[in-house]
Amino acid sequence: MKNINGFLPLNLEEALLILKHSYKNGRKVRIVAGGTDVMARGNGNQSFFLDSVLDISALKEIQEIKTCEDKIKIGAGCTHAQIAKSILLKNHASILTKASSVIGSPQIRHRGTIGGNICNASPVGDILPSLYVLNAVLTLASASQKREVPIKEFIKGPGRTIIQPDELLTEITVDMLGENEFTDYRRSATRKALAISKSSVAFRGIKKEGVLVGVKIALGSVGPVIISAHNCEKLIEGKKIDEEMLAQIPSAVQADCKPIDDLRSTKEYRSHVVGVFLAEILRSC
Amino acid sequence: MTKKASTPCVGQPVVRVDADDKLRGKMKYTNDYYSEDYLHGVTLRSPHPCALIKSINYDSDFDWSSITVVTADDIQGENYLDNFNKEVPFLPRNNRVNYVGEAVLLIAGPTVEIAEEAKKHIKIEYEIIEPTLNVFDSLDKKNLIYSDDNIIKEYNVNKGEPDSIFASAEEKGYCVYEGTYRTPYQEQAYIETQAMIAVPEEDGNGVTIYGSMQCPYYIRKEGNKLFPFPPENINIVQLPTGGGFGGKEHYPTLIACHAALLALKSKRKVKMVYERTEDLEATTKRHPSVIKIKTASDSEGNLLAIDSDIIFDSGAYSMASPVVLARGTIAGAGAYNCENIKIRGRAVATNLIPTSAFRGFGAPQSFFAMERHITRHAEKFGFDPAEFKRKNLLKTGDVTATGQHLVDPVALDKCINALFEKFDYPNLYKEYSKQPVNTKKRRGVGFSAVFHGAGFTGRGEDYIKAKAGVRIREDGKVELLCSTTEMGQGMRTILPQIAAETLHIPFEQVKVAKTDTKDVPDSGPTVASRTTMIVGKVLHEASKIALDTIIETLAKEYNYPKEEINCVDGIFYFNDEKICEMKDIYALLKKHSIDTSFYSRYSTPPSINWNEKTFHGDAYSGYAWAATGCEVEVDLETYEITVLRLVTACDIGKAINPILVEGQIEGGAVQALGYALTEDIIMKDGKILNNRFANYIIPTTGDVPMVEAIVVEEPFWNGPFGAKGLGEMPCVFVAPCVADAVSMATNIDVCEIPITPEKLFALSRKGEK
Repeated sequence: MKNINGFLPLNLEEALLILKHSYKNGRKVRIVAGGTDVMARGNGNQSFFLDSVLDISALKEIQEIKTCEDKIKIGAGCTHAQIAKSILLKNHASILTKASSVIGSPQIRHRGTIGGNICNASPVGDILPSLYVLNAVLTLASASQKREVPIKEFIKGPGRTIIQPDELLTEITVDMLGENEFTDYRRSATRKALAISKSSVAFRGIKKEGVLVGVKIALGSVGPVIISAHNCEKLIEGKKIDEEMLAQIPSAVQADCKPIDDLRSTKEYRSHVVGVFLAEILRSC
Repeated sequence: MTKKASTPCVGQPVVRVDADDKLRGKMKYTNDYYSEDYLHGVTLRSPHPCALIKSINYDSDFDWSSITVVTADDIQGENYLDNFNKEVPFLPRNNRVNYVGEAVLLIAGPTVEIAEEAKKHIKIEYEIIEPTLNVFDSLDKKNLIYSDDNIIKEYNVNKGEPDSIFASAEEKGYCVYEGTYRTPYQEQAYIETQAMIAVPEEDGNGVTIYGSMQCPYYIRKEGNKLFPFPPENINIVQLPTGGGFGGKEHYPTLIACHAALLALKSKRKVKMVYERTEDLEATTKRHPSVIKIKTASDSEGNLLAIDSDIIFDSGAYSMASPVVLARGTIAGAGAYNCENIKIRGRAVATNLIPTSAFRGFGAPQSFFAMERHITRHAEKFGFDPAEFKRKNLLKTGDVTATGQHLVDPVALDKCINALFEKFDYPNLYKEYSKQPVNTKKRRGVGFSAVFHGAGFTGRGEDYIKAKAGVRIREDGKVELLCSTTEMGQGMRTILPQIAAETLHIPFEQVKVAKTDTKDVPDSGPTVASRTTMIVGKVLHEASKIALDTIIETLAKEYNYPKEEINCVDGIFYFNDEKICEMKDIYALLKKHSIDTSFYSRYSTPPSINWNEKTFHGDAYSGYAWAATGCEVEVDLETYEITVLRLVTACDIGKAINPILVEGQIEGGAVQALGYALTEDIIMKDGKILNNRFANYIIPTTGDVPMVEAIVVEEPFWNGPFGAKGLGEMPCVFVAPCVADAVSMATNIDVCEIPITPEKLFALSRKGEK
């Protein structure tokens, strides 16, 4: 049995110093934000906690949601519940409040954080497709520097990111939606709460003279990472929404996603439902 | 003279006695007990579905000083559970393991972590044997797992001449329909995992086992065979139990004896608590089934013949399979009155997780198949399903598949009338049949009719001779003595209601004694919906004996005619004059040298005739009946199913506690909705893959529709205050209703549960091709 250090820093500077020193001394750190995933994965598996556990839940600096010019900055330590009820986000990035409100259960939404969801880099992460279409840029801070990385470049594979051992995700900057911009998020899951998505669709576009432009579509749970659905985007961009176009959606979806069969669903069903969701969204906008 | 009446207790929505502690989190469950001097037991399990253990090797570099290991070689007594076919081992017999997750050896250490670490330093060398991973390979006898045919048990029901009906069907223009139905495993998903603490006697000549269980005396009986000390030196104490649903009927005997083996070898207290994953991977489940049914009706819609072939997958060991199969076979013809019936039930061995007791006990499988089949038969030949079913359902005076003459009132008609008043299935069916086909969402309705016999099959209760009693305490309180366990169903509230009403004393003065085999008699296992109907009956009788004896003694003591003495709310009166209170009774009985405990025993009514060999006769002494309807909406693009309404009318004889009755119906219905829609065990090479609640999907409150429970009370002459058994029935009637409703909404013919969107999608594609 080895001892595991536990840290509960009260400010960001302290947290980053702990990361820096641990890195220098070759001690690996498991960062805990809300703990909703960490505690489940560490149950009966002590090695998951590495050499030290760093609890960042007391860092007030990363728990704010604010505007900054034409962007919104969301602290990485904001909980899903906080995001789901944020008036600012409801008015200017409603897709995020919608996606956050379906995560897990009330208990999980009150502990789990947006930063944790991103750093888990799961292809089923409920908040991720929305962040893709909102062009989220992540701020990664270390004791010595700060850098900004688009979310798409941050996530490299299931559970894999480019974050460095001395870095902490501190902030997520997303687009503020324009007046005539339309977004929606749909997902399928086996039950109504405490469910992991079987497939999900995040959609963004601007309605202009009967057509959609600036179309961005991200798909969840249908590939190893969140997928930017370029074929679907191309199909919809600048075109009138009619039955002829809707009929082409399934093949565009097919070209975009790489679903698998697993315990939750089948690959055929997954891509089928993505097509259904996309068509529903287009009909509703 | 008008006698004052006691405040009524039976039929009242008394608040359950454990509600407060449970809601506040104050109730202490097994895992809440902790002491520095405990050892913690863990189990090394087989990773192979079928293998021989060639050697067990201990890493010599590991520090074994604080570790106790128990292998099959340490077992001095009989290494099998006697309750079954003497083939369920505590630890591998003849070095053979027969399923993934079977216990190979036991380890105890000062902490769970140390014990788990030790596990990693034991290397088992296996010789792998080709496993049998499905019932059809097993029936083909590719490999022999059990006896010379892999059939753990077979039952045959024969009534009339079904074969000749089918043979003449074409000539006579009968409507004949065949179908095959499949049902999945189901996990009991009790909120508290299996947990035991074994405390050895200092001299090593006895053990007390505390834990989560349904049947304390089962453990005691098996322990007596396993351990070499006198029977009375083994005692079992049930601790508050967080759900059982059948999963804590037999399996706890294994873990209890495992803990005791470790405790006796280490001479220390040993606690064993399963993690959820271990519990999901290693403990018994509901039997998956494949059921083939053939029916014939005439053109008027009279059901003429039923032929049903039922196969249950028993897994590696028999466990309760024979008795589960018995109930499943008896339910094989549904609740239908038919002159010609043939049912063949087989429980087949495989190298998979053993299946055993689960709320409903074989009936959910058979009723799903039969109810769904009858709806399909009716629709196929243009009959209205409700009319077809009503025409053929059992009525008072009819004879069941096993030849039981139903002399007691059959309340199915009452239940159906009550149901249709609230949920107009026949009209909803007609209305929804007219829905346009090409819409985004469509609705459907379903209807099922079932029975559930409470207590053990046939004269099975005679083997138990349930004994229970009431004990008058010095302070005037009354304790109920029985080994029946509280596992969430409410027996610690309901049994005192029965006793209080019978004794004419206030509810608050009666409580159930601690469930400790040292103190309470064997009232039988807490299974088979038998607690209220059978144990309640015994306690009702024991209470009557107690009250009669008390009154006789008072008559003697005060020289009053006993007819003039009565008890009102715990106070004894001679006419209207108060004689004494309940708290004076203890001393009175002592003075007259009368034992303060009063016992009674259950015996099956003499009118019940049952032949186990021919599987013929009166299968149950008392039947509960239910009619159920449900309404669903299905998204025809995503195939997502929303259950909008579930209404059920249940005849349970008498609702001793109406709120608890509603709770049982609602809880059971939700468990059954999971069975119908989402729950399934996914395996690869015999290993369970969905071993967590994140991927074994039970319903959440968000998934539950409005469940409306209508209680119908057709009193049972031999039940306490007319009560019948209820606990299991809600798990029986839901799945066929849902399948009917989904089939109607989607026009996809559902013959298999769980009905997932993925399956509906695949079936819809198949239809297009």
